[in-house]
Amino acid sequence: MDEKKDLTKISKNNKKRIDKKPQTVREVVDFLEHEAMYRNFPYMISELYEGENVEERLRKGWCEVTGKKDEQIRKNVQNWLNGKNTPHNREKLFQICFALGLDEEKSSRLLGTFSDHKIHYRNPSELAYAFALRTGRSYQEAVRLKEETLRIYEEEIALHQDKIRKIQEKRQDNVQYKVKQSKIEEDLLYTNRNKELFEGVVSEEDYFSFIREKSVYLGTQHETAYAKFMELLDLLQTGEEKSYSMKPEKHDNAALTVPKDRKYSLSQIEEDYLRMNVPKISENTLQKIVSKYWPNATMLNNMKNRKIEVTRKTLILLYMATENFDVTEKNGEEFFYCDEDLEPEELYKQRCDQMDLFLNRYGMNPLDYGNPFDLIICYAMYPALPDEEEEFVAERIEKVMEILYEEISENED
Amino acid sequence: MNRERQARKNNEKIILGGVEYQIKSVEGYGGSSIVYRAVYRDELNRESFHQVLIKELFPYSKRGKIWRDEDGCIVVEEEGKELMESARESFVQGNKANLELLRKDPEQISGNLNSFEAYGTCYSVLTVHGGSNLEELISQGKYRSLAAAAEAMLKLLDALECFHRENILHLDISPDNILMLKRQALLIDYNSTWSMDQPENSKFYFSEKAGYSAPEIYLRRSEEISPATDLYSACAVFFRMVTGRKMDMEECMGRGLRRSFPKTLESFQVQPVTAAYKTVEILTKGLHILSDKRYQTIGELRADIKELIARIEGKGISVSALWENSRSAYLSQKKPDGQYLFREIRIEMGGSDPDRKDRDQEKEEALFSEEDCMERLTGGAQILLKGTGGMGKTQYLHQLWGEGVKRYQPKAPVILYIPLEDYQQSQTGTGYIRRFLLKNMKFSEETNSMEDALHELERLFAEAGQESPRIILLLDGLNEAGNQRQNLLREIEELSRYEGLGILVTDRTDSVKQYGLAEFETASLVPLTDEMVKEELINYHLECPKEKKLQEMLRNPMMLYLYRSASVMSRENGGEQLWKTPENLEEMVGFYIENLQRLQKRRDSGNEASQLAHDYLLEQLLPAIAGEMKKRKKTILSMEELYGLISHDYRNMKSKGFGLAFPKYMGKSRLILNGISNDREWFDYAVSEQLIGQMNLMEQTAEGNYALIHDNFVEYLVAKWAENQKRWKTYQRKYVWKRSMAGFLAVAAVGIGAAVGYQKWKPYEITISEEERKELGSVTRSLNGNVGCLDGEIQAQYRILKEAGKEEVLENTSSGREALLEVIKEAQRTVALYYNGYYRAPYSDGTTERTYNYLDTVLNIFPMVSKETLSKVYTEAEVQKDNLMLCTEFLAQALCEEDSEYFCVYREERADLLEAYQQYLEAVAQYYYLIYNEVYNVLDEETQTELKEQILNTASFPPDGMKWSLGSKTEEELQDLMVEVVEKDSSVMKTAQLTMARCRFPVKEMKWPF
Repeated sequence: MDEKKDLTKISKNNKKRIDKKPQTVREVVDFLEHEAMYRNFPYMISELYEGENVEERLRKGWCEVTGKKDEQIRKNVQNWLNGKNTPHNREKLFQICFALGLDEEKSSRLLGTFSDHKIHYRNPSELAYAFALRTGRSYQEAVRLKEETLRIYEEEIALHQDKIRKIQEKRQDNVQYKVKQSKIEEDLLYTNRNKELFEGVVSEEDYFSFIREKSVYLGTQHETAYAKFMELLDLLQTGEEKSYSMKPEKHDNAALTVPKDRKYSLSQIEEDYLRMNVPKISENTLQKIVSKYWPNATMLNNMKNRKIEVTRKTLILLYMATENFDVTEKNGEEFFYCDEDLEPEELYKQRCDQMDLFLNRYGMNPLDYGNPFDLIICYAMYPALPDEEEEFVAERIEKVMEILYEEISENED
Repeated sequence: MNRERQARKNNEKIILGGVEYQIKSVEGYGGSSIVYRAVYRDELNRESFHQVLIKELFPYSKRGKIWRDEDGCIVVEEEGKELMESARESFVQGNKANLELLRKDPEQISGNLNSFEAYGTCYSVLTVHGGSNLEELISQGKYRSLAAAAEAMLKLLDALECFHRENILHLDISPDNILMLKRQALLIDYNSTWSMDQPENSKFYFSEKAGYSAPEIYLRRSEEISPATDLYSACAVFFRMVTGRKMDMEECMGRGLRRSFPKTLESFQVQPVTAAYKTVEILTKGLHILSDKRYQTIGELRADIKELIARIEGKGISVSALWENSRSAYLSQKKPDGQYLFREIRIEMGGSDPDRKDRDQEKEEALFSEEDCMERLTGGAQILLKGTGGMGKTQYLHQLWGEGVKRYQPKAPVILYIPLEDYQQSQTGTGYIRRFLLKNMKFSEETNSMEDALHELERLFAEAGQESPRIILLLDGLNEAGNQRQNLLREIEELSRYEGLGILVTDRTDSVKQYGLAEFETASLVPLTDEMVKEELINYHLECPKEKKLQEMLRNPMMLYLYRSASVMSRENGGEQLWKTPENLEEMVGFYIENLQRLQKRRDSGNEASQLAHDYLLEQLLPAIAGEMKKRKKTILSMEELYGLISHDYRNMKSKGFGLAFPKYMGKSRLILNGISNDREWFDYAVSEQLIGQMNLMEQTAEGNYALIHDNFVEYLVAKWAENQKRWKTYQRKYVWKRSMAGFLAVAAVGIGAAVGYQKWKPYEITISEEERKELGSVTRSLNGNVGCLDGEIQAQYRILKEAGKEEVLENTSSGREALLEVIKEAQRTVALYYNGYYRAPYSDGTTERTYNYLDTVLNIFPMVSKETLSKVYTEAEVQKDNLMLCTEFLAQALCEEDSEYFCVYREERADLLEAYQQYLEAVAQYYYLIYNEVYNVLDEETQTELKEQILNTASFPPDGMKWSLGSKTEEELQDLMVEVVEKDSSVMKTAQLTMARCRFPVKEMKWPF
């Protein structure tokens, strides 16, 4: 499917503004707070739902889905539709899709906009929902399908423990970077390929055959994303040579000088690399959107132990923390390489494309100019102009956050 | 029913378009098709078969919704219809593209014979091309070399060009889709082709191939698909060949290629480093994440691949070729002894005229480190670096040069070093610097003449600093360029006008600025500090001298080097301090050479021959070389000039006169020349092995000329040479004259006893009638006349020789030249006028005035006489006359006419000429004497008596001057002697010819008896 870069009014407007240089941090924050248009829930619903009277349809559908009465859900629906609240929970988002009768593709877009990723085609539960949406079933039928799916899944897992162990070993190998990515892709049916295979499933019989056959390869986790998460985390924890810290002052006592038998703790990782002046509480909507699911040590640990999925935000922040945007790698005498002379605009576009490729690779949505967090990331990636002082990408994010959350900081003080 | 995708079986037959095909094997499986090898029978020659490939549309359905039934037909269930339809569309589109391209460019496109709908699906019958796909070949180890990979790329681009020409993109370029034939590559698999002429809203099917697909394919951005997408994939194929692997996901994702090309990569080994860099440049551009930063057209990429091939082959005139040449030249230079002492230079800024007295234009001076100097030159500065001899200008330039060629960086300035000393020997006059730069460059097909090459070089200069890196010229030794250097100066000034060129030229002073190089800044090397001197001496465990004057002298690097080296040698020699402290450069050089000589002696201890040889080289030959340079007013000698001197030296060394002049070497030449059999070997030993190789007192310049290791050595050595000359002259004059006399009076054991053996041969008994006797009288007279003629010619030449041997002539005085010229002219007149009557060959063929057949008469009367020999008696005088004219004309030019190209300025040259000529005359006399003997032996007694009387009265064949008397040798003995004198390679006559040739006598025009 051809996915053109979103050129909706929102994206166009925001992109034009955020790409404009030079601008100070305060100007950027002002833009984010007062001028930027976001792809909020009402907007997306209006884009995706082609019928009439969306509120009525949503309320009715929501009642069917939840079994609650109209009076009970009316306010929730109103808050969604007036932008006061935004559902982020995936189950809730699926329910909304069923409530509105959206098809699989539109449902995937809704999920991709308000959560980290679209429908995850290696997650057995989401496979059930996807099939149900594809075949126009109701939410209740989808739930039944999901239950049956999970039952079959667990049965198959139990039956094929050996095979699963071997797969997990291979996963472990992947985590230890011993197995080439391409081989893993061939062997372990990662998400993108699974999606392609699943496209041919149209009957229930086919569906359950598919589940039985592929159960051992399924999982709730995005495997490639998990592998990358572990790689980047390991880089920050152990301070391997190729880890070019974005905070040179931290070199003195940080990752690069950590003895091999000692690792940086997750708390230290959070504090030194990922916190970036984002407080733990937020007040206004924008602050909430930006800081929602901001990674902390607990979350990192849960991701590490596969209790929760690696979030898109975490992956982006780890990428920003370890990607060497501004420091020239010293290849010394070992490699031939070509220095490039790119104009700032070209370098910016290159970074954005690199980010998109990175996200695409790990099954995540590309950069979204309708998303305030993504806008901050874009701003941070813009290279310094010739007369500007060089600063690290992370520093720029910190400066934005400092101003975005300055009221909270002042209050705390 | 097996619902898995099953290929047709081997030997199965299918009918397509009425033709029966037999399946032989499966060629390969794709996502939506299976390809078979098949054959069909020729209709005419039924026993023969045609080979084809058959592509069957058969998409792989994981759910088994598309399968083959028992009849071999493809069955598509409801759930598989969408997949089948989508695959069919691609199949048909690809087929269409294949046919279109085939129509337009059949040679470049894989053949498509026909396509059919049958058995529930589609089939295409394709030509078998042979060849293997590139992936197989790479896996087998082919295309490992950079050159092979580049050639493969050119073929790939040719194959791709016919697509792009028709506005069609292939979009699935990878090694397994490239068929390599002998002379071309073919792109196969057209399922992903896309016409750029299709409407904008057409559905686009993305086909990813890990390691080869462009980012816009991964990101599903159809609006960015363009020819650059195909060129990305082509470069990804190039990457595969160069690195031996396909790009990994990190590299594909745009992480970059900074760590993709280790210097240890196999394809980079044994390649010029500029070629490796070019490869990396091509791949970095071709695999750029941003499509508009990549190659946009096949032509662009092709041009760069061709440039890469030129770099691999070292061909073409380019900045990278200049860099490679410069680096090769630097690496082949002999490294200076000792550690380099980092220097600063002082540049005078503003006020370029050294004589300017304008007080408002006071010069500012600033100190510059080497890096600063290089930066200045990179900015296009022109600097004249002045300094006395030994200040280290050459070493400074070498240091800058070395830094510039240490590592190749595409954007860094190219540093080129040009020594100017060879300009003295330059025949071209103009364009010396440019021709020097082009000297070792290989021309390409586009640049195949010197004119084209010069034009290309000019273009590089013009583009330097704009599209190309800057160029810095280090011109070393303007003072060594000789006296006629106006063309060189002009060239330097021309080059200085190029903005992208920085120039640093060295000279002893800045006097040149009075008339040239006006725009150049004047700089000078800062002398070594006392601390640097002290540190250098300490490094060699030497104490700093106490004398202030010497301390000051040692701030000159050359002095320091000489002092340091000599002191170390002195220490090795036992620490004897035999000389006073050197007070000037000349004494310092002497200090050095004498210590070197002592050290050599010590090392040669026990080997008298080596000791003598080394003494000879340092005391005689090296000073002679310096003297030769002084005489020629040059600081270098060409190979020919030096060889001439060495050759002369080789002969001199063996001469008695030399031994008398230098008793140390009397009778020792055999010892010195032990194992050396000719002057060529002496050259090799003395110059190449010892003076250059062992003792490092000489060097060969870039153009193959010879120079002293430093021109500071000249004065000392010239003084030595002058001393030697003084001693030598005293003996030489006597020696030359005595030799010329000995030529007339060959000392022979038979001198006194000549008469005893005079009648050794009795003439054979013949009967001559009265009538015959009358005829013989005339013959005898003419025979005798010819003898006299010949004698006169030889003697005329000896008179010239005698005159030429006088001191005034040897010393090249004007009076001497005038007198000699007069003698030469007189001889020529005499010979031309007087000796023309007796030497016409008297044959009765109507060609001469005399028709009387003398030869026939003699031959009739004396049948034993050899006709050939007899005729020589009559013809040689004319031969000699011609030779005489040629030689004397040459002598006149060489010894008398200053404007002549043959004019010899120096005594030794003049003496060599005379010696050669004398050798020739001696050989000629011996030769004719042999002829006369042959004839004499077969005459009757009466005729013999007359001939003998004639011969004995000549000055050329006096009885006491000949080694054996007339008639004393048998015929066989005469034949042996003829071999000695004329025929064998080392014969007297041939040796004389060689010697004359070396002295530039017109030997080719002369007539020779062999």
